[in-house]
Amino acid sequence: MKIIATKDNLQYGINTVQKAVSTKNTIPVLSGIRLKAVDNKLYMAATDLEIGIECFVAVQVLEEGEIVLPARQFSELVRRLPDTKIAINYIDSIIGVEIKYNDAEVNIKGWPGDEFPVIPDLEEGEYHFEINSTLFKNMVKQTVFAASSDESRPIFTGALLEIEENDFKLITTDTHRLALRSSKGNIIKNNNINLIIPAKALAEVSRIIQEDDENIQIKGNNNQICFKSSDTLLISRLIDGRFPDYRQVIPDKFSTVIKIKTKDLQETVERANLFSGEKDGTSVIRLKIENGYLNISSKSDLGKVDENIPIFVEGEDIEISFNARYILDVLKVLESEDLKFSLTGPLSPGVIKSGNHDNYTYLILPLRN
Amino acid sequence: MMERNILHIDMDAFYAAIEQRDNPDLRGLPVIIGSRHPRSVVSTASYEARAFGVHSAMPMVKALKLCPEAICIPPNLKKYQNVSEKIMQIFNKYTDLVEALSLDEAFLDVSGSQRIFGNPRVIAQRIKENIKEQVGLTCSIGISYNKFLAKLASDLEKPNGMTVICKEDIKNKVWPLPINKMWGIGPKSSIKLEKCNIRTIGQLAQTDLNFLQNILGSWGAEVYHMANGIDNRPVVPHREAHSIGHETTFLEDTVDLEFIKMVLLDLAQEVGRRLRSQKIKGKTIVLKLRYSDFKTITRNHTLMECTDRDDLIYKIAIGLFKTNYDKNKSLRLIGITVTGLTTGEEHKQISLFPVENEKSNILYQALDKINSKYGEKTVTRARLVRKS
Repeated sequence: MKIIATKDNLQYGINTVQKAVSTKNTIPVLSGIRLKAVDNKLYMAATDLEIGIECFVAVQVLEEGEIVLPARQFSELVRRLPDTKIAINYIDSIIGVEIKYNDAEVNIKGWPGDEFPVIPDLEEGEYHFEINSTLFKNMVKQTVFAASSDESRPIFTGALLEIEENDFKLITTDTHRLALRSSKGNIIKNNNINLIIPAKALAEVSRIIQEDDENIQIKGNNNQICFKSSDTLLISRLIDGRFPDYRQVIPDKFSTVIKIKTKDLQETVERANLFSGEKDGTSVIRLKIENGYLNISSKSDLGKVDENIPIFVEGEDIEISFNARYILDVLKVLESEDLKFSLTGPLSPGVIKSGNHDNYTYLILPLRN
Repeated sequence: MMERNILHIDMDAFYAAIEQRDNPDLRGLPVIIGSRHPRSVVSTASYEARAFGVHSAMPMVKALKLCPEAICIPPNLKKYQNVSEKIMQIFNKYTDLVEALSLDEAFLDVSGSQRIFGNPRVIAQRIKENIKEQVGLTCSIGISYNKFLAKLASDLEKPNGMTVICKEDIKNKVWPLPINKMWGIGPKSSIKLEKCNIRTIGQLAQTDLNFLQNILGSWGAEVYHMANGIDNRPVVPHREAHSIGHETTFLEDTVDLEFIKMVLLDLAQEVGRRLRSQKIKGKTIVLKLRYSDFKTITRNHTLMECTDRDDLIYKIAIGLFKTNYDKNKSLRLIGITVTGLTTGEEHKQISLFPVENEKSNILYQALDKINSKYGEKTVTRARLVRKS
């Protein structure tokens, strides 16, 4: 392998694949980034066997070939290189490369390229869809935070991707709240799917989508799914199991509906959140809807907050407690000036929707006093 | 801030002294509380045994080498707990600010008790007399204006001592002491500090604060202030349990995974039973592993919902074990602790898809009832039934 590359291109490739580099290090070669030079492209890849990412950047290939370089040393080095022409040449005697820039030279030892697992692109998948990249990125952003990090119930560490006809839905829940985002996409092969994708993988997909990517391709089978943008491919294993029926838990009738400015609610809850710490980390805030006002209060050993916000309200008065964090999480991603918060009694889930769209539903369970 | 009056009361060789009190034949003899098993450790040593260099937490093998004629007595915790309760009752007569540190050790804040009972020396003297009369034991009391100095003081004249450290005494009583007498300075920190030629508390007190923080990390500031006689920690009465845990040292170091799993199941069952008996649940499961080279690691996992169920605790512990156990090394000790405890009386987060179901709660209630009536492990998991 002999290539000449720019620092920017190398850096872009490293940044794209780096999150997939294995940190657990059970198989040494997985702590590396694979470089493969073909056809004036440098393909870079990394995998921890949970997810794999491959992307390519333009380089000048003088001699095709491949090598795996230790990710940490390679990335730290590239970050510190001067912004100039960089030559990377394979050296057989050390199973590594020499990296030349200006008058300098660095050697890095690696592993033979063929020891690295193949990252399949699932070209022959059982299903194939495409969706607008920015839209998909937004779907992920509005749902992925509500997934669980508790590995004892693996299903909830994933997001349910449900595609029926042209309706794309992404659903996450950690059992205390649930986020559902729907939108439209295109079907290329197979109509309906119902898969659980690790939330971590989706967060990565969202990260590698570039501003100028038009569509993202989704392909795969029952075990693996792959997301493909113009220059990058991410493959992830799927989570095995049955996602609970989310339709059953989202109420459609409410006894109280309020409309409020997102920013007003956010600022008040943020202040109340400062004085709401319980021993187990729950941030308890109390919401009281009465006489056209939303009263939000909290108290802790250190102080208390009590605020009234004028609101538009329909229905009954109500008092209910929530974990402030779960409310703040959704307000950060709602992207709408107004919101609608619907409630039914102090022990039933509340539902937050944006004021002008119906494509996003966030359900949050209250705290029992 | 008003100057406080803090007592630190430490019973002298508590467990051993109780055994000597109850069995006159043992008096004047070296007594070691702890089983004679080669891998057990000394729980308490009587002063007669301490003369041979035996001290608590020492491996039993070493203790018996130092003092072959020692009499080993297996601990009778129930009895010690009863005695401890009586002592705590005495403390509570003098102030309601009693912070028990263990069965045989407590801090008392007597700042507000002087009008009724006299100055701290008088109170300390009366407590000593009460303990002698009512439970027939001696203790050592340290008196000072903060917790750190009170604890240091109680250690200066043991046994049956009473020592006062006031502000003027710091230079001559505290500063000459070696740094390992400091709260929070263990063997590792000691070595680090000694490398920088800091050997006494006085040298520590005069070291640059930033320099200390570099060596000791976030601890540095606290240690620095304490060495200078500043410690504002309040006396906190009846501290609630922060965690419930169980650990076991294997009879022999082991690499037998099936055996380790069985022990984990046993530990999980014990921790679950204790949680349920105290009607509390925990959120974080901590696994502790100690290898044969004494390298010890702890790894934890936090659940979305609190639990008191054996099977879930076991499942998490096994998961932590599988990802963290270094198969190339043999294991000496394993333990499970549950932290993030809650009584469930606070706000409870309602769940959409709860883990707990009524049926398993009823099952655990029934099991606990049977086992408390007919003895531990009357009903247990099949894999824990030992082949006879």
